[in-house]
Amino acid sequence: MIEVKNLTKSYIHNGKRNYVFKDLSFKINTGESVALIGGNGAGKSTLLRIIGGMDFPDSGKVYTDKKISWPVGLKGGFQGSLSARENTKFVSMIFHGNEKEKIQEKINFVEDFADIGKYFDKPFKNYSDGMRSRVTFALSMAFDFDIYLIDEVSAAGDFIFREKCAKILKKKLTSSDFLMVNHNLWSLKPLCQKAFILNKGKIIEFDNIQEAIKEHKKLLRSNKKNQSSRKQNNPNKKSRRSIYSSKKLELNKNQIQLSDRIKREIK
Amino acid sequence: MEILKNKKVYSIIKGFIKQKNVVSALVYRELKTRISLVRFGFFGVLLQPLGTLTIFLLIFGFIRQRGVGGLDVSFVPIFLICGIILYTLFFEIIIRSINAIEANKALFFYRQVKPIDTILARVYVETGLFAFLFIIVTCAIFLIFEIFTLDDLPLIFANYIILALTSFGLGTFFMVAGHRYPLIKLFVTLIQRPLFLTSGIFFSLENIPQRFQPFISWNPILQAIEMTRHGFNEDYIINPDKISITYSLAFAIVSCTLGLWVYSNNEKILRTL
Repeated sequence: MIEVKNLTKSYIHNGKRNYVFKDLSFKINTGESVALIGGNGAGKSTLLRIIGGMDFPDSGKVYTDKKISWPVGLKGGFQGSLSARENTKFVSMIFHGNEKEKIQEKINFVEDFADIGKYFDKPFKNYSDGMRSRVTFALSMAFDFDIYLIDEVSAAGDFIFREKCAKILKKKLTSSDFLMVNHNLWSLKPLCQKAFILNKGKIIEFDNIQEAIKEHKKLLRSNKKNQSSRKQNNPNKKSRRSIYSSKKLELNKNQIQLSDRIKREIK
Repeated sequence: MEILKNKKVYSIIKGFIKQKNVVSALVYRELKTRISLVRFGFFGVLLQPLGTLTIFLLIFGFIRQRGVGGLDVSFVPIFLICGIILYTLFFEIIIRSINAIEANKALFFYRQVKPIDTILARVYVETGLFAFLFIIVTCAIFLIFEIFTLDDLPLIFANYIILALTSFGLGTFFMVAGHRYPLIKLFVTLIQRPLFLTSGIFFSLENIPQRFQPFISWNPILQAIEMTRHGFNEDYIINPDKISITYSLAFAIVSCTLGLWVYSNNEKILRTL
């Protein structure tokens, strides 16, 4: 179970405070996998980061009694100078301390699943994008969590790897819950029963993904319309001709000011 | 009530184990990164400070031909090595603590990793490394100069730990402060030079005129250095009014309290970056 209460998150840009979300509250019961849907910049990833404990809200709290994963699919959390093997060992040590057998088990799993051959022992910073996403995904799947936060995972990898990912995700679904973000909307359908639409800092809950996707598309279109109509009404945006004429005007003004100053100095 | 108490104790113990795991993982990472930067594996990590120490010893060994602190010239190598090792340990810990967050930024991805853990790991690595160096170099000196003076090992050990604790507290403080006000990082590098000259690396407090002594005897590095020399040879003169382990200990406790207090008030800011 995850319970989010009165979550507020904002950031300051150019001295102005922008709210990602304000007083957000919702509850996810055990046994429910939820798809989080929203346009770009709606705050989906921020919400996942806060639930995952990597980011902090301005106010409000996240209550849970379950083991929550880090956002799967985010390519952070790796020391570039160390190899994938050493990075895996590091993460395993966080969870298992000095239990050598368990650590070795995790390393073997990641090596096997990522399947990047000799590169497993090369520094992480030299990896290609595909290799990185293979290792990060494999590492996330090596540990058993009650709730997985999944952020855009199926974007990378060749099709064999993608099949492998889908398979293991389905297997994980039997024992744990998901909170998923994905722009490939139809891939969410087999994994999640519920859907939350995050729009303008508010959450709309749906029990049916199909309906949610329909609503989401409608919202996206209407948002876009609003944006474009705002653009048209924007007084700053003038036609070329008027810009030209206003520049001319400014030039004239400067000339006037200049001549004023000259006059003053002459006096 | 009794059950609640037990639960609390249980959760505290669990928290400690968790933190221990994180710190040991960070120590592993720290050592691996260090080793990956140099040749010859773990020996390579020791090689660089070992070289610096040897050069220091050679230069100042030649300059200082007289005995020091009531002892003859044969004590000079030990005398110098105490100063150099403890001073370097102190500043190495502080500077590495200040940079700990920046170096481990990527690892805050895992919510178990707290900024204080990265500092603890670095303090642990540094303390161990320098203890190792200290032992190697003193053994080498004992063998080369064929002297053997080791009168109070517990005192040396206690001083070493106390100095490490002091630098941990101050390092944590400067890390937090430097994160909020970057100018403070500059202050640390500025203060390094004057402290290098006044920490008693090249002289004994007894060689300083009586009236100037209070100006430098407050320095915990000087305290630790003088006491360690006394630990090696009991005939090395220290003034018990000015140099005492109680003072060092008090300094360590105050600096740790300050550091941890400032840290606990700012933990969120440090993590969100």
